[in-house]
Formats: sequence, C-alpha cells, structure tokens
Amino acid sequence: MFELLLQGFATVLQPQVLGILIAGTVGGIIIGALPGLTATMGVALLTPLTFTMPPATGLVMLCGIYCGAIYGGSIAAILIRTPGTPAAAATVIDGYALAQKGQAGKALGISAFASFFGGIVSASALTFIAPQLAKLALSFSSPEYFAMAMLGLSIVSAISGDQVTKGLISACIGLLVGMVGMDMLNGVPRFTFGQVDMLNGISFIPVLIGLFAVAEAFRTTEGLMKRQVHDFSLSGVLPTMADIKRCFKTMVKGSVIGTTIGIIPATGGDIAAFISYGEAKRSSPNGDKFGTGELEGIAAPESANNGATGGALIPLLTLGIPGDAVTAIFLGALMLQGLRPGPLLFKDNADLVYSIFAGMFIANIVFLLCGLFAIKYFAKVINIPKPILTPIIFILCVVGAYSINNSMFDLLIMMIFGVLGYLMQKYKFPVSPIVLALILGPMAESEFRRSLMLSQGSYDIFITRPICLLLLSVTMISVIGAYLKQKKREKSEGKALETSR
Amino acid sequence: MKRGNWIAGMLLIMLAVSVWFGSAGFPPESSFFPRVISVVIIVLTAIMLIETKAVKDETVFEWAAANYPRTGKVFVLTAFYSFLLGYFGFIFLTPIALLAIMLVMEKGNYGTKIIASVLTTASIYLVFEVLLDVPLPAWSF
Repeated sequence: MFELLLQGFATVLQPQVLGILIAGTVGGIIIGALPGLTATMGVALLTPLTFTMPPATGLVMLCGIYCGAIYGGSIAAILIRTPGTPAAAATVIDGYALAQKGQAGKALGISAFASFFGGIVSASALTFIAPQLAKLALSFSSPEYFAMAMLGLSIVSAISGDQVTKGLISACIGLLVGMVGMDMLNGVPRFTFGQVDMLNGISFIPVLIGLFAVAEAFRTTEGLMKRQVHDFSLSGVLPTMADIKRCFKTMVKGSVIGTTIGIIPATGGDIAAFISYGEAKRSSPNGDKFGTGELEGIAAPESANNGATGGALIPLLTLGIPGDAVTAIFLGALMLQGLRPGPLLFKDNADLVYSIFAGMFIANIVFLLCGLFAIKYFAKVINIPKPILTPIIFILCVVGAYSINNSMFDLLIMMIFGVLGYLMQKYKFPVSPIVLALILGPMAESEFRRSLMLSQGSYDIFITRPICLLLLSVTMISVIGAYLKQKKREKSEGKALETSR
Repeated sequence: MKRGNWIAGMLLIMLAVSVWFGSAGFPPESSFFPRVISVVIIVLTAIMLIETKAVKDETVFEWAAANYPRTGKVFVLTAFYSFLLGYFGFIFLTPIALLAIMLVMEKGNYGTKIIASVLTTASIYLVFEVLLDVPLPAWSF
C-alpha cells in the first residue's frame, strides 16, 4: 500500500499535474469564497475540462476544487457574514463575531489551519479505510451490484430534505433520462425519436451543468443584489502555537466527526459542521463564550466540513455510491474517463486511486498555504460584482457543455435542463436525485437483467445471496425510514402550528 | 405553488403515459424498466397531488417584479448565443454575448464590462484551445 501511495505522490508531484492541482485548488477557493457559487457548481462547471486530461490529472484537479471550495466558503462567512458554501454556515457564528472585534485575520488563520487539519485526517482515513472496504466488495457479482445501485438510489429519499415524494419523482425522471439511447444489453434504441444524436444516450455532463450551474445562474440573475464593496484589513493571519494548542482537541473531534459523517451517504459538510459546532460548544470549558467570537467555534465547523471531503469519497470509490451532489459529479468525471468506481477500480487502476489519495493530501497543503499567505488576495474576490460574474458563468456553462462532444445537441440539452432545474427549484423539486438516478439507473437496470440471466429468470437470486439481501434490506429501511421521518416532522409541524393559533 | 404542483402533476402523468405506450414496441426485457417507472411516476404523482391539498399556498412567481423580465432576457440571450455559436464562432460571438448579458443585468460601467468581456473570452480561449487543445466553435461562413 505504501509503495502505491508513494507512486501516487510521485504522479501528483510531477510539475504539470501539480500545476493543475494548484490551479484547481485556487479556483476552488475563489468559487467557495463567492457567495452563490457552491462546491457542486464549481466541480460541475470544471468537469468538462478534465475530459482531455489524463485521468489522474483531471481527477486530482477536481479534488483540488472540492477541497479548496469547502475551505473557501469560510472566507466570505468570516468577512461578510455570508457563507460562501452551505458547509460554512456554522462558521459564520463565531467567525463573523471575531471579525467584528477587529480580528478577522486571526479568524481566517485558524479557519485555514482547522480546515487543513480536518482535510488531512479525512484524506488519511480515505487512504487506509477505502482499500479494506474495496477488498470486501470484490466478492460482489451482478445481484450485489444491482442491490448496491438500489441502495445508492435509496439515498434519494434522504437528499430530498422535506420533499421526499418530489425527490422520488425527480429520481424517476433521472431514470427515464438514463434510458434514452441504445439498450446496453440488446442494442434496441429506446426513446430516441429517430435522432442519431440520441443513440448514445443523453450525456450527463450537459445535464449536470444545466441542473446545477445554469439553474443557479438563473437564480442569481433573478435575485441580483446591488453592488457592495467591502474593505478588509487583514493582519495576524498566522495562528500562534497557543491558539493551535487551545483548539487542538476541538479540531481532532471535528475531524473525526466530519470524516464519519462524510462516509454516510446523503450527509455532507454542512451537517458535519453543525454537529461538530454543537459538540464543541457542549464539551468546551469556554462553551458559554461560543457565539461571541470564540476560536474553537471556528475550528470545530471548519475541521468537520473539510473532514467530510475525504469521507465522502470512501463510498464513491469503494462501492460506486455517490453520497451527495459533488460525489455524483465525481462519479460522472470518473465515467467520463472510462473508469467505473467500485472495488475493481482498486484492482485495475490502483495507481489512479492512490494518485487521488495523494491529490487530496496535497490539495489540503495548497489551500493551507494559500489561506495563510495569500488570503488578502482571495478576500478581494468577494467584491467581484454579480452583473459581471454571472454572465461569465453562463458562457463557461455553454463552453463546458459544448466541449465534451463538440456537439450543439449537448448545448440544447444543457439549456433544457437549465430551465428544468430552475423551475424545479422554484417548485421545490430536489434536483440532485435526477443526477443520482441518471448515473445509477443504467447500472441498476443492466445488473438486474444480468442477474436474471444468471438465475435463468428466477428472482430468488436477490434473496438467497446474503450480501445482496442485506443491501436490499438496508435500502428498504432507508426509504421507509425517510418517509416515516417526513410524516413525523409534518405531524409535529402541524401540531406546532395549531398551538401557535 | 398549488397550481404549479397541479400543472407538474398533469405533465408527469402525460410523460408516464407516453413512456408506457412509447415502450410498447420494445422487446419485453427492454420495456420492463420503462414501464415500471411510468407506473411509479403515476403513483408518486398521485401522492404528490394528495399532499398538495394540505400544503399552504404561496406565490412562486411575482411577474410584476423587475427580476423576471431580466431573467427571461438573459435566458433568451444565452439560448441565442448557444444557437449561433456554431455559425459565428467562439471568438467573434463571445465578447458580444458577454457584454449584452452584462448590460441586461446592469446598465452602465461600459468600460469595465467591455474589458471584462474581452479578457474572459481571451482567457477561456487560452485555456481550452491553447492549453488543453479542446476545439471551440469557429466561424463557419
């Protein structure tokens, strides 16, 4: 394992790969620092760039964007009380309070260090846990893959928030979109309407860009804010040993919480950050000072949200299950390179997997250096006016969608899904399930049919294999649990409403 | 919101029915999944419409607000840009489209916007065409 890891570092430290990783991380920090641009949008927007790169280079760049954006979210949270990404929402509480006391530099410094700490812990977990999980998953065959795809799809109910029914409908739309094109097993064209462009199916990158980036840009256009220019004077960014010592326990706990929550599909950095903040407040002797600019109040959420980055990649790389929108796009990027995440990835492309691990480590180092030594330049990006930034995003969307296949048809798909995504957000239909279903649907269908071929048409194959049965049972529990949870929440909300009357 | 849900519901049912009948000509193994999904869509849509009755109504689009015409114009400009890109090429069309969208978003600041449009076009061209060797649409007349 260590030999492979060293090989991974050797790949990532090649000047060209390292340059792209640094560019990705810096780009991620900028995207994260800009309120309204999320890590998901950044990764979706820049995935087309990876198509022409060697797999390791492209994927390492995405790791840089992901880690950089999650850290970058704290910059706007601390300086202008607006979390750059949802994962930085908890950082606002103490970060902004400390900035108001004239210690914005100190807040940014501890945020960079805690994010780095969390990121390194989670990258280590990814490096050491993922291969063991993958070994276990190597015993999988078609029925288990089908069950795993179903488990991945069951996450839909969890990522749909309080709109489970609408989330499931979105997933069905994604499944239908995934069926367009030639049937993988017998070559029959389905729902192509005689269009040659549709024979290969609908490319998921234009769909991703449309749903996440174009729809978000429309929303920004709709709620365009007036120009605001912020003036920051940053000093004392380098955290002192006393500061680090004071926050050390909180950072360790935050990193473990973040990594663990990151592994659980359908969670993410935002949830991890709030849980870590709550735990730090509960257990710290300075708990009563939280909310007034306490350093631990910044270290806790920041170590947790970056801790979630490596954790989130564990189910994706080992089982092929993307736990959230960013990892769903990662899955897309891997497939774009002709790779299929899962246990076989560790067997057939171990060099690539360990390059990703090494990339995660180095991305964390890069954003720490940027955060400590170049923060004043990143702070300036917050002042880019939306009327200039949003049109640039629109153009990047068009170029990104076009460049995958040099196809005007893909631009049409991007625009259709852009409008669809915008309307879906308006009417509270979650959009992430479409992507999840679009990616996992074809796998579910083909593995289901292969399983039936193996069993000569008998459905018993799904209940006589223990791992398959276990995965399907977890799937059932996950869906029913999410539905019951929603009903319970609606009931308690109804009661609260009646009481208030 | 309620009206939107009803319209979405009707469209979803139409989609499900089309999928059901559209897959009639496929071999049984190819039509199984689409048909299952069309049935699931109908069931879920019915649940959504039942749930809609209990939902408190709220306005989703306030057409009188200035934001929507602006969003509409940006959509039309982006759609035109996407459509014309294959004819006029990236280098010629992009600065014009960028400037137009920027001006729809906010009037004034012409100098900054012209510079931003040209610089963005040049940067994207440099990254895609020169550094990554990804072809961008060229003038086709």
